[in-house]
Amino acid sequence: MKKVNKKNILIPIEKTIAMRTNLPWQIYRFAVINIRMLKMIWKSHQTEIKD
Amino acid sequence: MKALVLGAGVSGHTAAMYLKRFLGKDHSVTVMTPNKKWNWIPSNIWVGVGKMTPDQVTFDLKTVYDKHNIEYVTAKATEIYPEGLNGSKPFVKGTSTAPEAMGTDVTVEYDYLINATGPKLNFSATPGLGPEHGQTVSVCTFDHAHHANEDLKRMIAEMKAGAKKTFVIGTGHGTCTCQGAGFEYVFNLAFELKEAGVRDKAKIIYITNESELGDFGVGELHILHQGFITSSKLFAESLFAEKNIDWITEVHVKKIENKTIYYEGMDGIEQTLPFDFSMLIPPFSGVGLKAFDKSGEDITSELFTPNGFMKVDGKYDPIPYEEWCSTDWPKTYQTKYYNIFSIGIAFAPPHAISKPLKNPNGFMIAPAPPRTGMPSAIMGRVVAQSIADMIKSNSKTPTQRASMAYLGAACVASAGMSPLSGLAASITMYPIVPNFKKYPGYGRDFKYTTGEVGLAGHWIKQILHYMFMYKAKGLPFWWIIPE
Repeated sequence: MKKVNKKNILIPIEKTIAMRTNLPWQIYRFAVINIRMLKMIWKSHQTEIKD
Repeated sequence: MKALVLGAGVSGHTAAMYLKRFLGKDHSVTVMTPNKKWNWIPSNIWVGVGKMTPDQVTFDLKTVYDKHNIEYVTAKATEIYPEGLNGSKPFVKGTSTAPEAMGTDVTVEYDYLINATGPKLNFSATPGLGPEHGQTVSVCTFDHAHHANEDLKRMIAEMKAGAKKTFVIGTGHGTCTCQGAGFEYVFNLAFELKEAGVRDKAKIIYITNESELGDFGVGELHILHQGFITSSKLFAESLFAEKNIDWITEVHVKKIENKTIYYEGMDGIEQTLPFDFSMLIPPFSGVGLKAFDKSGEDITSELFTPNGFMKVDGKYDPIPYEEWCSTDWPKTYQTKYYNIFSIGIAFAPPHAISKPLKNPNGFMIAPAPPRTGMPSAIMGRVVAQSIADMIKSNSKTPTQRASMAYLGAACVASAGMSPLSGLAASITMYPIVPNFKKYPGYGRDFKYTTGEVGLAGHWIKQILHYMFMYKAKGLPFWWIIPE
């Protein structure tokens, strides 16, 4: 069992936590994440064997 | 021609629907599965905390297959005869699970076969594990998740009356996969307990076979974050610490007795962890299919690995971790028989992705590679396309590939279900199997490997639920929705 020094862990500040549920910011992130996912999905759907 | 699909989970059902779409009325498609319902498994997490009912995550397969002219055989496949028997066509033997013919033998001939039987939930690998014969709950099926929620509600009622409880969530064996399900459940549990006003009376511990939090069986991820290359470990630990959830990593759970988990880490020293409520994911194995040649000789070991997964076009020679390569991974999922394919959890991965470890007492602490969700569905479509092309061009060579070394994955891990205060980690990775030659140092493309936590992720997770239920039901233009 690994021992973890919790002092070395990143802890989010209040602003970071608040932004996670901030509506305007999350609507923007919703668009960004969707575009990001679509790009990755498109890349993963190139499945035809060409060689 | 007749195509037979064994299993109707994410992979098998996708394959069957696309096969019928690609082949049309000229060829028949049959699905053999012991299940009556299709289950969108990712949403079982929400059934397990009472946010959804089993009916919201399932539907009757028969209705969909009738509508799409797919033959439906309610039976559990047990034996494959890839060369036929004494001159017959290739066929699969099974045992009926239909109420009117329960236990009777069923035989289905085929020209092309897709094995998508998924996993056997191997609770018996750890004494005391599982909801049926053990002391832990599970969210692997909608029934299990429903039962987990009933137990959870009982716990919450006792906590409201003043009791303090210990919750242990995670993996129930050193070789488990699907750590993401444990990750999602532990955060949804914390969220529900907070909503119920009893979070202060709960100690929550996450126990896992991963070397570090955020490994997820894929050898952890690295993403670019504000000018730094940051590991998924940092993000995962941060979230656990923020939500006041303790964690124990790199362990093998040996047994569960008297509401106590007995486990060992890499030091080989046995430790104990008492609990009041525990949801532990079981290890997976193959479903135990057997194979026989045309004279009836058992050839199971030629088609399957010892743990029951089907060998396809991967490299199965045992090689040390240092020599693992992304090219070891199967591309077309074709077996030694040109007309048999295996996809989803049913195919045998050549090896793990995370570094396997063995402790001084010989227990493997080695997360198995994940092959559920998006990759499973893509494999289903790709193999369906290959088979359709092979039938139409009278060829024995697949036309499509879906190696996990070339596939990415989108994973939206719920951390609480609420339209305005919910959270989820939205993760994308490319490729799933790291390619250290193409992407030196970290094995993945930073352009497509990303992650963040927020309410937007929860919205995406919820939308994906309805989108994939729609697609699986074969409703108008279902095929436009990507896997």
